[in-house]
Amino acid sequence: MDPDELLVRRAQRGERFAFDKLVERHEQRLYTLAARVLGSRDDAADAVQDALVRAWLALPKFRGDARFSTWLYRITVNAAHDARAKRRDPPVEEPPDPVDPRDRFAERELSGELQRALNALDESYRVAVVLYDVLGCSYAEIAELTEVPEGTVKSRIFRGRSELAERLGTPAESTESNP
Amino acid sequence: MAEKHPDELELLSYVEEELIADERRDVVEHLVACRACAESVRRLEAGRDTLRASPLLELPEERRRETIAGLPERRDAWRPFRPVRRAILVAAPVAAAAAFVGVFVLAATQFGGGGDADDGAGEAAQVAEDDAGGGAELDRAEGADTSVQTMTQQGVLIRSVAGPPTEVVRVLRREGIPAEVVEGAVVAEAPAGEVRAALAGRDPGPVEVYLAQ
Repeated sequence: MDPDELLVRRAQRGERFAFDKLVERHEQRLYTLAARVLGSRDDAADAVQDALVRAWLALPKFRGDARFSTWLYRITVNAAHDARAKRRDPPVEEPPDPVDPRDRFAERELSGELQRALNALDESYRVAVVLYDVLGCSYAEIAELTEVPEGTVKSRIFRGRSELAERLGTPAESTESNP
Repeated sequence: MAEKHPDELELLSYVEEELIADERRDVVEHLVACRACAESVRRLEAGRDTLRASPLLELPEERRRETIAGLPERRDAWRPFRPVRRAILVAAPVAAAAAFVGVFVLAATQFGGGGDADDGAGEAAQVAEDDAGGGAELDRAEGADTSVQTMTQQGVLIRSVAGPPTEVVRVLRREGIPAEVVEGAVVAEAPAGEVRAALAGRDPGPVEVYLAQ
C-alpha cells in the first residue's frame, strides 16, 4: 500500500491541510531532485513551487496507479525541464549570503565539484542517476516517470555514472583485480 | 582476455549485485582478464558512491510556506459543512411542503372533506415528512446548533472528551486531521478510526467530537 494513500485521498477532496502534510513528507526529495537537475537553488525552489501547484490542481485526477511519490517526481522532473527550457543562460552565480544556514549548505553543495560534473551530463542521464542513486527510486519507477523502457533507464544510469566518474576522476586502478 | 565482453546492462547488474551466481562468476572471470571492463566497473562504482554520499537538500522554509499559502482555489475544495448545509437546504422545503399538506388535510377533515382524497393527502404528508427526515425534526429543535443536530441524527458523533474544544482541535490537527470548533463541539474531517485513535489518550468529557460528512 502507498504510505501516502490516506493523505492523498483527503487532499483529493480538497483539504489543504492534508496536502501540506504530503508536501512536508516529500519536499526535501523534490527540492534535491530539482536542484541536482537544474544546478541552482533559486531555479530549483521555483520548479518545486511550480510542481506543487501543478500537483495540487491535478490531484483529483490522480488514480493511484503509481505511487504518489513517483507521480510527484514526474511532475517535478517536468517542471524542472520546463524551467531549464525557459532559462536561456547557464546557471548564474547565486548571492553569497543567504539568510537560512540550510541555504548556505545547499549553495555549497550546488557550487561543488559533484554538481559541476552533473551539470555537464546529458539531462536524461542526470535525471536517471539522481532518481536512482540519490533518491533511491527503482528502475521500474524511473521507467514509469520518464516514460522509457527499463533497459533505457539502466543504460542511462550506466552512462551517467560512468561520465560522472570520468569527470570527477576515478580512483587509482587496483593491480590486484587486474594482474 | 575473455572472448565476449559483458554488455553495459550486465556490468551495471554486476555492480548492483543483481546477477545470479553463475552469471556473476562469468563476469568476475571476465573482469580478471579484461582491463577495459574492469575500468568500466570501477567508474560505475565510483559514480554510484559519490552520488549516494551526496546529501538531500532542504527547501527553504519560506518558499515552502509561500507555496502552500499560494495554492490556487480548487473547485472541489473542502468546505466542512457543505453536506450538512445541503441536507438542510433539501430538508427545509420538503418540511414546508409537508406542513402545508398537513394543514390542508386538517382543514379538509374539519370542513367535511374525506374519502379517498383525504387518504391520499394523508399519505402525501407522511411521504413528505419521511423525505424530510432529520430536517423536519431539526426545525423543531429550538435554539439548537443545526449542523451538529443534523449530524447527531445521522449518527456521526464519535466521542465526548475533556475540553476545552480548542485543545481538542489542536490534538487532532497535530495528527494531521483537519478540525474546527463549531458551537462548542468539534468537527473533524477524517475516517472515524483515525479520529478515535487521535483522541485515544484523552479523558471522557463534555466536548462532543463529530465527523464532517
